[in-house]
Amino acid sequence: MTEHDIIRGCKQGVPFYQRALVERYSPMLMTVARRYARSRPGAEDTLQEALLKIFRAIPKYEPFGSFEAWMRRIVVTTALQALDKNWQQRENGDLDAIEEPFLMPDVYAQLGAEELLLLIAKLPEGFRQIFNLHVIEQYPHTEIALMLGITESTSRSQLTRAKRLLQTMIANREKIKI
Amino acid sequence: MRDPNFEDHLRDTLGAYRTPFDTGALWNELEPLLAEDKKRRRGLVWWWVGATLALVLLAAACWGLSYYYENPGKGETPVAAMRGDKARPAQQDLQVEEICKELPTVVSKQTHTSGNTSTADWRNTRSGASPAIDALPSATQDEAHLNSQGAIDQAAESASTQEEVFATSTTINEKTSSADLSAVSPLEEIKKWHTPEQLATLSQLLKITPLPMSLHPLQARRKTKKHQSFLLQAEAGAGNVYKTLKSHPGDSLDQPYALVRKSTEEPLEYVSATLLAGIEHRSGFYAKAGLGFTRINERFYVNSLRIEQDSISDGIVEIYIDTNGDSTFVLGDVGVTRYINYKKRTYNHYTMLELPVIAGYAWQNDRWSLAVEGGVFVNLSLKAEGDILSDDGTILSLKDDSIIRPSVGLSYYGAMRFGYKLNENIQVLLGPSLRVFPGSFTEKTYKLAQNYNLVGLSLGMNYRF
Repeated sequence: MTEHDIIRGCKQGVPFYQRALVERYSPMLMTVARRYARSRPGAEDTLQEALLKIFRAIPKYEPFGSFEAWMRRIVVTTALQALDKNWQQRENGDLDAIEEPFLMPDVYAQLGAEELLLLIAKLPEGFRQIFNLHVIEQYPHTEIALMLGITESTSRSQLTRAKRLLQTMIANREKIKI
Repeated sequence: MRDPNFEDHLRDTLGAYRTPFDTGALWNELEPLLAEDKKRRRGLVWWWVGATLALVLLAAACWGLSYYYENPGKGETPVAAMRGDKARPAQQDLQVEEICKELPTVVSKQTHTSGNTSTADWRNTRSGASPAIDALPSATQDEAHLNSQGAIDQAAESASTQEEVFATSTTINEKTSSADLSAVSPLEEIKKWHTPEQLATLSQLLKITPLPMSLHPLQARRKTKKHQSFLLQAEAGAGNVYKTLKSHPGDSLDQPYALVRKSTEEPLEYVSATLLAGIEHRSGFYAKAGLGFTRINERFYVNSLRIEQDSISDGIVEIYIDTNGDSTFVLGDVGVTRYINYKKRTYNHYTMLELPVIAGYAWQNDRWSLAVEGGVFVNLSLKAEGDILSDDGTILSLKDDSIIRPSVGLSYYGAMRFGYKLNENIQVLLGPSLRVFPGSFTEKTYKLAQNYNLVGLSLGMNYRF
């Protein structure tokens, strides 16, 4: 079953193809949702809501770009909206004191995806959003600022702090392994 | 401070990663939600189809009625058509034919007796000294004299009309006497020129039983045109929102909570649109109904600083370095103090679909008009989006069914409209509007009753036909 078949079947609302879409793409979309959610159940909720949106929007989908990228964007938007329903928090204070650690390239190269996801999940809420949007999704700061309702400079400074914090966490893990 | 290797590694690793999990269980949860979604969307589609059909039918009915009254002579008179009486036009024609037969005799006698009949002569018939009546056959004379204060008086109310009657009669007489009947076609001439009053006068003079005024096609047309016109109206409005938060009738007011709500919510504006169809009487009274949409916008804003104590598990608590230089780490929870600035800004929307029923009165002065109207809006649905604070300080979503009612019932409407006619059919309207919602937007189980008043300006366009 090709991607084209799945899209066509889902446009017609055929459950067989809808299930095929869920089985084929949800592991990839779950990874996206986990990067934004603090917990696994939160990521599952986000994914479920995002899939419903995908099925509602698919009749209007025009296959001009990547289908996966289109779905990923819906998951990201849903995840951000879900976070927006809670308090938007911008951490400061103690986190300013984080110093940038020196990491050897082979140190982080040994980190697997699951470990990275766990570390990213430990980032504070605002840091995690900006880090994901800029580093993984590669959105420019101007767009991130618009999406999150913050200034561009806030986005830049929080990204720097997020990266420092993540590298510190990776460094701490390595020290523990000594 | 960009570390390209670090970022690329993250992107590649996470981009290619597929989280293993039970997709079957996810599908089992999704399937009923999708089925329900499909059902709801189908219901919505039918609702819109129904509403559209109703509007189309209403428009078609208005157009049909308008066409019917504008074109009464197509095949049958409107009165005959309404009564199903096919003999009526024939009766009308017979009457006209009888008049035509009598006309040459009457007018030639009149001409022989008094020469050219003037308007002044005709007016003299009221005093009984009319050469026109003298010229009639004796039976007709008696009838005419007897009715001089009756039918002829009634017909003589309009001097200009009488002039026309005789002018036309004379024309026909002259033409018929010159043996050119086929060229003139008096039947057509009378049909074309004679009003019901004129026909009645002629019938009186010729002792032909007149057709009742109400059955005359011209009269029917004139009456219909003057009595009422149909109208279609599209209108859009915007203005200020005035909100009150109070207790439900019979409940005690939670004043602190009401104050918290007031301090975190700011009513912004409302926008509305209505599509109406109606009927307007020649006296100026009108009534209309249709579909309406209203959206009330508000801003919800919260800003507070919170200090939270948290801990990081598996943090390094102590490091022991022995004489050999080996390190021993003691792991445990490391306390972290978080200073969190909570901010939230949401734009709340209350969206209503309504059925407006409006009546009013318009004063028309040439192209300008001033109308006063009032009515009720029957609320069909109320949907709310956004957030409010609960009494314990947490945020509640307005989508929560236990807060906002699905329908707000009736609201009262009053407005003034200044109108300017662009042409015979189209009129532009502008004026202030007031809407009062007596019913609360919130459920009885919720602590506060939330009411609105809307004051604004509306701009619209009227099409009369």
